[in-house]
Amino acid sequence: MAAILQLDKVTKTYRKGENEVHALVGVDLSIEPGEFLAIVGPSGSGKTTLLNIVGCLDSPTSGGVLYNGTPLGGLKEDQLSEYRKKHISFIFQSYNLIPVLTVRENVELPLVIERKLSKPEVRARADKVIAEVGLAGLEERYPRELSGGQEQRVAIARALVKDPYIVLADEPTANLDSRMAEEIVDIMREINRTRNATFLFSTHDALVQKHARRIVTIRDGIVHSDERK
Amino acid sequence: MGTLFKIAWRNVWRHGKRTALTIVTMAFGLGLYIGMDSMLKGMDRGGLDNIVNLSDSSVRVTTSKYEEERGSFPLEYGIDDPAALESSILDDPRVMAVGMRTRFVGSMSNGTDAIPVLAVAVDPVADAKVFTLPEFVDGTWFGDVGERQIVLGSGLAADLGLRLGDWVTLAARTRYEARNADDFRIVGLIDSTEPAINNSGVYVSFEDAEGFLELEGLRTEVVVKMEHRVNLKDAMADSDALAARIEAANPGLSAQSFGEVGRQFLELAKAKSKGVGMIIVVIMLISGVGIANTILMSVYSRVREIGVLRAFGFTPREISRLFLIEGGIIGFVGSVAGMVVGLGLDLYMIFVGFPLESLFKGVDLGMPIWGTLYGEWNPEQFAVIAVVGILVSLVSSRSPARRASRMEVTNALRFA
Repeated sequence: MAAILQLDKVTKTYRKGENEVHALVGVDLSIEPGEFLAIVGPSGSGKTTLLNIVGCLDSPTSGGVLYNGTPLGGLKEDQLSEYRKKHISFIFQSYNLIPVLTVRENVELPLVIERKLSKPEVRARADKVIAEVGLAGLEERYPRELSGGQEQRVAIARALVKDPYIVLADEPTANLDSRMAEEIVDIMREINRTRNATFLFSTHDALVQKHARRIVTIRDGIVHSDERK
Repeated sequence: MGTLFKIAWRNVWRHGKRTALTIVTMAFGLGLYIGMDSMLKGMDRGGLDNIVNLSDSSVRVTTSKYEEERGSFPLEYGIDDPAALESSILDDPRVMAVGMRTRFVGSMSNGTDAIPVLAVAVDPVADAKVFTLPEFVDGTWFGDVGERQIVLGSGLAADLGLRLGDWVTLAARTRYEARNADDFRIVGLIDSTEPAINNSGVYVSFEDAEGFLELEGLRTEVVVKMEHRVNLKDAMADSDALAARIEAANPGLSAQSFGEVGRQFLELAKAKSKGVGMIIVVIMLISGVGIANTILMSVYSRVREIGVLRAFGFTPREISRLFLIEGGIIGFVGSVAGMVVGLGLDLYMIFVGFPLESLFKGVDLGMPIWGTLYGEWNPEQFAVIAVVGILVSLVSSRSPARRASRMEVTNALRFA
């Protein structure tokens, strides 16, 4: 199967004062559609940097990323925004919901930004995804009125509402207890299975790793192992 | 745009106290400006009202030749048929009253000293309908005593050491250039809001002036009082229109509109308005800094939110627009609140006024203090406030908005 994402000798170097920090060193990775892939490694190993580069939030110092065979390097700011808007969704460790928007408005946000659907279509799509993540009935609540697990479900619903090809999740269960973490992983797996969305997530969580079908281990910015189950 | 506005609107009120403080500062400053503008325009209006109510009236009609030699106040160019002119002027529905006057040059003596004066012969009853001089008279505005009477400015009387009831000698040339002098009893002293009248005003009745100046019915001026208009421009336009109509219907007559005098007066008042302009610049500077600070704090309290919006596809331009809208909302609400405060002050100044006399009685301010100072209705100022308020808020928000749009997404998402 053709790769949806292809990382070709991706290197990322930061300057920290007078020192150079090598966050990623010559990473080669090929990711196929529908994968449920965990990126693991100790803190500071380069997991988040890898996700940021794939999500076009950051650019590699050298090497390149191909999306469906198209290189993402050299895209202008507005083109990068367009790429993120259409193809990528994010789930953050600390949920990062917009506090002044209700659950429904948070979930609708990516569709509203995309400006492809009519208002009723946006509403219907959002309500459907909210129900899928088990939050039906809480549509009018604000993030401050939700538990951590509920907030992360909203974040997942927000990530999935536009049917993205790729979902990038940075430590999605790090702030949750084990029961809640299991529920969130179950939801992600179910959506991966039913919608064939590609999931890439960084994690320390053994439970999440247990459910992943492919585990890429990074240490000091270098891919140390790449196991498929 | 709808989502941007929704997010901006809710964020503006999310930190209610901060926003309210900025809005209150802005509203107070703008409201005060409107109130001050109303007061200063009211002072201008007060000055012009002095001209209209105490010396020149709304429209003053003379012969053209008299007007050409007005500096010498000649008694040879009287209006041909003043009664007919009066009746034609009264046809105008906006005219409230018409009076007649004859000015003459003379000298006044207390028996020891003599000073030159410009005197006015009036019909006391008709003149009181056109001018408000009788309201300022200590004593009486001509009585039925049977002796020659004179009303003087209080300052002039003081200069000559004269009091109410004293006799004074008035000397002048008659219409036929003969010298004449006679004694007049002082029946009234004027203490008005017009210093020129207080310091040099001399009034005698036509009844006494007829023989004294050999007038034979000569009237050099017809003075007209028109209905009061709240807005100065309307009042000037009314006077201009009437003056034009009189001149068109009466060749050989010259009608001086209060609008003409008013415009010259307002020209002089322009220097004062520059000072007011400086006040609005300072107010806007303070408001601008307040808004910029509010938006900057908003940016720094929402760095991660900016990162999330960028991650989901917001362009830098949309992020910038989000914060510009927030600034615009604060500016709009602040301007509206300022207009409400200003309207309140304005209405108070127009209908209740500022009691100058009771507040400054006994205090030497170096200017005549009398009665109540009223505000002037100036709707244009409200439009100026609205436009300037919103513009200043947008300009002030520009820099923080730009800063927000230039944030690195990864740094923003990491921000704790």
